[in-house]
Amino acid sequence: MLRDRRVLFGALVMPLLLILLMMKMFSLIESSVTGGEATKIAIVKGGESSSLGKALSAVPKATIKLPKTVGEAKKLLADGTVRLALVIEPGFDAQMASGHAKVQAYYNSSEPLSGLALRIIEEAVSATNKAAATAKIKEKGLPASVLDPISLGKSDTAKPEAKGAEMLLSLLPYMIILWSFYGGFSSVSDMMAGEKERGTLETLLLSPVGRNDIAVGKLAALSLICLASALSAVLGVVLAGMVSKQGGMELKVSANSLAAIIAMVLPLVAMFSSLLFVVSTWAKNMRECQTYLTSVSFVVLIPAVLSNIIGFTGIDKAPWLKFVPILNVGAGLRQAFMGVPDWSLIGVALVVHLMIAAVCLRLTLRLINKDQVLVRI
Amino acid sequence: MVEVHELSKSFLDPKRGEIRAVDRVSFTAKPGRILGLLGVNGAGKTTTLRMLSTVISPGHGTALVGGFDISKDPTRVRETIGFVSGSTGLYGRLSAKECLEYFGQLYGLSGAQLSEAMSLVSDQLNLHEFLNQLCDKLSTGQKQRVSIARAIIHNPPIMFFDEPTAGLDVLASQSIMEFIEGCRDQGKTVVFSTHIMSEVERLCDDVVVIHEGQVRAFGSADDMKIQSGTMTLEQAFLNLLGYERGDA
Repeated sequence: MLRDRRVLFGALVMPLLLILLMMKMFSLIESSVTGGEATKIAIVKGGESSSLGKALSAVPKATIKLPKTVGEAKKLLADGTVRLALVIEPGFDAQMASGHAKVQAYYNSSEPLSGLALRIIEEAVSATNKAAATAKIKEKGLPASVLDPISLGKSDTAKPEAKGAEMLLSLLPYMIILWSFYGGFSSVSDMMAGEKERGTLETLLLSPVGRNDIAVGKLAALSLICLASALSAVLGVVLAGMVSKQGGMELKVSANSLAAIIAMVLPLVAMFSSLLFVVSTWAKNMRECQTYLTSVSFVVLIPAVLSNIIGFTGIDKAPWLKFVPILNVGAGLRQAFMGVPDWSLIGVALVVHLMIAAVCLRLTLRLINKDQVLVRI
Repeated sequence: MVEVHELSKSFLDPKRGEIRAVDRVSFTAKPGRILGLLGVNGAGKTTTLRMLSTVISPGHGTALVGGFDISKDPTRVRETIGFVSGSTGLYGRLSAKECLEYFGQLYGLSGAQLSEAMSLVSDQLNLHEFLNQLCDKLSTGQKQRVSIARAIIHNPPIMFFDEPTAGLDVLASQSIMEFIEGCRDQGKTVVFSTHIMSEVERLCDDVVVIHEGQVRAFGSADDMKIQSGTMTLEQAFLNLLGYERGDA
């Protein structure tokens, strides 16, 4: 099996590579956001000398272009030179003093960076408004706190493991679930359907080894591949956590969390491998097997995708979730990465996945002991 | 010895309904003799051999292979037989040597016993020149020799050959036929399935003509020619099938 480079690459290299690649992609996005891509702003000539124009020029890493006309500014926006174009009316500061000034922002809502630029402008406008209001309040001898009568204190209760890792927390359970399944994908069609097609299954069945032993032996090999793939994904996560320390997306995995992750991954792997194996045992040939596997992969993908967004839905703590296969592991992995593993959920998930694995194994044993395993019309 | 009694097998086709692949087939193959199963494609030869080798279960009837009942004692039957077919495959990513080691171990051989068996079959089938090559890289003839070696690694007293020369050139076919003759000379019971008349005439001591799942004749090739009043086995065979010019 290990001589097959597809297995080595698909089950071991790919999960590691993809997770690290994904992390690199996120840090690229982050650096483009914080690196000034969203603060490329055009201010139509004249507006730059206003108080708002000066405030914008002071934004860190801001790039300010000064087109002469609105048309010119829109052109810069269209060709991506700037993310937002701003028209600050002449006499802006005088208008501010009289209590009513107008600024027009041109942006492209279909571009994420343009939307981000709008948010920066809105914050700058809000800060300028607040500064003007504070000055007026001071003139009247009132305290500045009149503007903010409510003071909001913020205390983060997230475990140290979860701080700054929101993006990772929503993605990592998804990646681990996916690779526990797809790790065995490249080899499973070869295992039974491929052996039928090449005529090697018949030679195996001709040996004195019992059919149940053949099935269990092959399933053990497949489980090992799926497990290696899942562990490769976990290793990718740990490496990603170490790499992302510098990028601010720190992810710490405690020994307790790691134990919880492994306790969920093992039964998940048992379920996936037995599910994949029963499909390969049923299929007449590799082509048929791959067609079935594509359909089965949707059954896995839907809860896996849901597990990716479960943190945003508020159902990640619903009692019924413990009993939904795959989805419960998604929620459980998320909690484990947050440093608060729910051992009762892990226990239920273990039972649910092992039960499904047992049903699939029973089906496989029934199939392999029938003539249809070789001769299916 | 292989004793087959009223062996039958049906398959259920969703479109055509029940297909009777083998219908009450009976014959006996004796040690030191080659029994030929002669029939056209789809006659039921492979299904019969698959039942005798316990790869598929019989619908009705019984058979004793080396004294073991195919339904009651399939593991002992498989220990007693060697099965060579034109369609059984080898693991492409294993070398010929690894393949033999693997199957030897499946038959319970290990250590010196396994080395001795491997050396013996390698000599017998002249495998030494490509023993360390991957099976994927071997020619069709070489693959078939490895396939035979795999089937005889445990020195079985009964051999089944299911169209073993299919797809082989004249030289490779010749060496396979010489090997089958050698099995007879060693006193093994050989059941040989084919649709090639010249192979039957050369190899078989006894012939079972099988057509549409049923035995049409059982005897020696010469008996069949005499009984049908024809000069060749091919003509005798066509007569037994009830073939007339223009039927094909």
